[in-house]
Amino acid sequence: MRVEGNSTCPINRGGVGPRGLAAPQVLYDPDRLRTPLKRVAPKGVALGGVAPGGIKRGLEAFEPATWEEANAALIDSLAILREENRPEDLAIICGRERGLMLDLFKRFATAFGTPNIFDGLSTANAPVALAALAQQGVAEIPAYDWKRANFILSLGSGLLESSCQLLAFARTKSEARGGGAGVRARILHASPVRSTTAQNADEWMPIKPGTYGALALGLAQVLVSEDLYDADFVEQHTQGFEDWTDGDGRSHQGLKSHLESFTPERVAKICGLTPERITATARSLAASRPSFVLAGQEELLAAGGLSAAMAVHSLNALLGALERPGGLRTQLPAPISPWPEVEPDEVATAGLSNPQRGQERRPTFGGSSLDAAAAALADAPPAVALLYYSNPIYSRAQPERWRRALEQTGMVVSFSPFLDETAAECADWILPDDTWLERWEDGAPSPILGTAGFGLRQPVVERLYDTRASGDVLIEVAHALDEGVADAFPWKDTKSALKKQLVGIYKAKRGSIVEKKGSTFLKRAFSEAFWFDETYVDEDFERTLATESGRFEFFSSALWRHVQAQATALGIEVDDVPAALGLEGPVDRLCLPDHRPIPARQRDYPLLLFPYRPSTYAEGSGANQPWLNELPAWVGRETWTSEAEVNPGTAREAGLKNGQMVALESPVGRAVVKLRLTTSILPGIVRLARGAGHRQLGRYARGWGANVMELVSGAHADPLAGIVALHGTPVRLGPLAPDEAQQEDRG
Amino acid sequence: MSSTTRRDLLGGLSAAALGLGLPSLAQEGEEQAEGLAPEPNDSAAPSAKRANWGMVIDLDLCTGCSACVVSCRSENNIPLNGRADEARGCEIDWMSLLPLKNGGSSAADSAGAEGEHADPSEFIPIPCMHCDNPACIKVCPVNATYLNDEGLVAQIWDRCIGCRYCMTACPYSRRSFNWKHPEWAEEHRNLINPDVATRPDGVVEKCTFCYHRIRTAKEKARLDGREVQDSELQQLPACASVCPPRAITFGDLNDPESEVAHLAASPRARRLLEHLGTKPKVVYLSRDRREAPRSKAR
Repeated sequence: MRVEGNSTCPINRGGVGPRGLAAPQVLYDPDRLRTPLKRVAPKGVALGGVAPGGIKRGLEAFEPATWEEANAALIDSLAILREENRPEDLAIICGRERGLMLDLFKRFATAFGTPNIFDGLSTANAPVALAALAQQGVAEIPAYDWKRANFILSLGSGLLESSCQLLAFARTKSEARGGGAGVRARILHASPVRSTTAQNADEWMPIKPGTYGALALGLAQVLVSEDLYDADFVEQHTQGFEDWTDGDGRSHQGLKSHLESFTPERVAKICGLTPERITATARSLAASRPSFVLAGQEELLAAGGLSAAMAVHSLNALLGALERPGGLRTQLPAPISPWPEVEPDEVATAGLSNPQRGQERRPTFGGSSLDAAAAALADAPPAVALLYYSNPIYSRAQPERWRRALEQTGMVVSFSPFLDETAAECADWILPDDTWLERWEDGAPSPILGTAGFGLRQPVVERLYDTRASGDVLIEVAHALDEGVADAFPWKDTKSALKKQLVGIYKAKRGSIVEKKGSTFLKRAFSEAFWFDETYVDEDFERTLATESGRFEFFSSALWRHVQAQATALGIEVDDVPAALGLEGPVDRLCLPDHRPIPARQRDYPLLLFPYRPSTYAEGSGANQPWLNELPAWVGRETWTSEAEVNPGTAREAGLKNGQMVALESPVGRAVVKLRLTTSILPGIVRLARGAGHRQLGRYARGWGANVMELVSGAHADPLAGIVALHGTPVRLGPLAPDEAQQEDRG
Repeated sequence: MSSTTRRDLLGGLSAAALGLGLPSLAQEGEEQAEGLAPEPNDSAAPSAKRANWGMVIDLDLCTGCSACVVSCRSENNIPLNGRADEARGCEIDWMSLLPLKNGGSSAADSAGAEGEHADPSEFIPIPCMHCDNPACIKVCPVNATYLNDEGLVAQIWDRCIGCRYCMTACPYSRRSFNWKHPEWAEEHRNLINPDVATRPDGVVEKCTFCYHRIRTAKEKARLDGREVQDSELQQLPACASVCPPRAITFGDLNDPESEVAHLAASPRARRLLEHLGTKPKVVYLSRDRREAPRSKAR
């Protein structure tokens, strides 16, 4: 079996990335689970940790079960929650960011009556998506018109290494290079690390960690003070540029006066650049239009990430790059038929009126993220937890917190096709999903082109084992529950739910597949596997500026309302909110783009940890595919190990040498890693790939490298949004203890 | 590539031999001529002029994603190296993605004493160079490796005695030795490509430019009664077929109309270790910041 690209799909046009190519190793993983499993040994610390003999030990805690038994167990526990009028005691953790499976789980949560569903969008893309929500009224990351741009400034973006759609971005970069408009676009990358994306850029501009917001505001300041911004766009389509007064008669600061303090001199000092460099870059952005600024996604998962993402979004607005050729686009949805609206019954309505876990004391903008929920779930564990595409005790910050939550949860059901850490150590039932080569699903692309597209994932082989598509299981379970839940799923299975969606595309009669007869349309849709419409209307501000004012808001009124809600929740005045959040400055700054420095480093932990998702085994879900493990996390690096990368100066200060095994410690964890010196990283930073250090997940994943997430404290969450900092945990490096060093030598 | 048939083949060859652009001389008496024609030793292909297979890799487009590396492993049944073998340097690699230290212009590159820790400015995917003057074939004591008449550095697995002289001779380290019998987990045997033979222990192996795909393309063209088109060849090898930014182009360097020949003539074109005189047929387009002719398609 081999994977080849679909040449009709406008996103990959026949290309396939390394993860797609390794997909057959997911299907044929020798350690796949082959039946439902029921836990027979008590869960908890007894079976946790690194067990000698790993997988055997993991599987020994389980007994094979039939699907009838497994479904019955799940249905019984869920029925009790409904009968006892506490549906909110069900927590659903769905790692998907968008698409049919997330929609199915959301639907189930609504019909069942639990507000406690946490999705994947809240983790990776949160700052950028939330900035778009705050300023544009659209809760989705933007797409970019690479082909027609002349100049692209990337602020720490990891599109060519960490993005889950690496391949599409590789293609779009090559389009920018090819110069669709006859001009080869120039790419300038600013970040503390000369990453793969930086290596691909024309120039790397090293800046201090956590200063993206400051740089964006510094560039904006130059555009405004030198009158280089798009005054027409600002005049016609924005709000909050000048100081203004709201309906309640309260005066607010506007962007223009807010920018006054971000002079090139001050920003240069913050970022570690020269003022001339900042001025010159701003002038290039203005002179090389169409140009746009690309915000990092994971890279902004740091304290103040939302403010920084808003700074980048505002800079794009000043450039007039929104909805213009060669600028930013707002993803067009595919015209799929919506499923019938769910009508929560009495039990569900009561359940849904409860606050989401993690939102009880202080609500966060955009709802709870997975990470913010962890602490709340650990304090008050739910009765039933469903885990889909989620392995939190391996892949989230402070996995121990997740372990505590899940070990105390009455019934944990994992849909993982593999014995991952969470399934092995916390699940009571494992209901193995089909792999994606065996099941029906949509292929909902994340925003790349901005144009509408809809993929059809179909089984390419008969299922190999006694597994079932989780969508089908969910529908079956819903049908077995009371009417309130069952009626929300008027389909036989996932495939029929998917077909219902396709009706809308058929009726739209546009795009790549237009057929008179429905059956011919379906046949073509399934054979071409991707429908798309390449039309994109520029300057459609009515659709894309979905804020209350219908304008792009430099000062976010959504955030202002959120701040007011916080004040009410905390029983304080609006002006006291910043102090309550531990922030300085007037309250208006919470609603404007801003720079918030990474909290001062501690003496004991003088370095900052920067984990990153390698393009190969990503956050760890690819580590059971040996083709991916045989690739280095970063070109030129060693395979089958975790290399902590630091600047030679940093190592010298700690008295450590290249290639040495060292101890990397944070306030919450410790890891043994190999030291790699490189001048691609500014001093004071440790960079470590995610995805290694598995205790479970099969023979290829287990037993090599270190799991960086065990060191991530996630302590410095964004003050307003439920974003937990992936970057910037304080750490220190030191030699191994003598006995440890001996062991490493033998190993 | 001009559209010719097997009948034109000999004519084309004779004309080429005479250095004349004459139309086919073999129109008459073609039956006899065909009987007399020596079979190309590696192919029953009806191509007109002899192909000279080559590859162009545009480093300005390459993002370093490693899709080519995985694709090659999957297509050519390269067994898993495993942790231990990689640590011992016993891995098998036909296509590698290596860092290329090439001077460098960034602040990091010119960091003086710390220069040895500088990261490369480019990545470079390296398959077999299929040299026109290959060092490896000259040292083979048993003729297991040779330059075939389509410019491929071919290797006959069965004839190789495992002396590894060729590995030492290849200045690009593009040859690997099978230190052990290749093994697959039972389930992973489903990944084996039936079009490519697996290699036993004790032999040297290397990139074939996905010769089996070339053969299939020729076979298909023959059945359709036509010539292999350049468009079929451009992304033919497994590495090129998946490359997300389309950085790899394959084709016939002898065909002046081919994309690969056009790109190889770019002022950005360079070859690795050219001064050794190996005449590699893998051409790299440098990441020259200036405008230079790009693909015809763009």
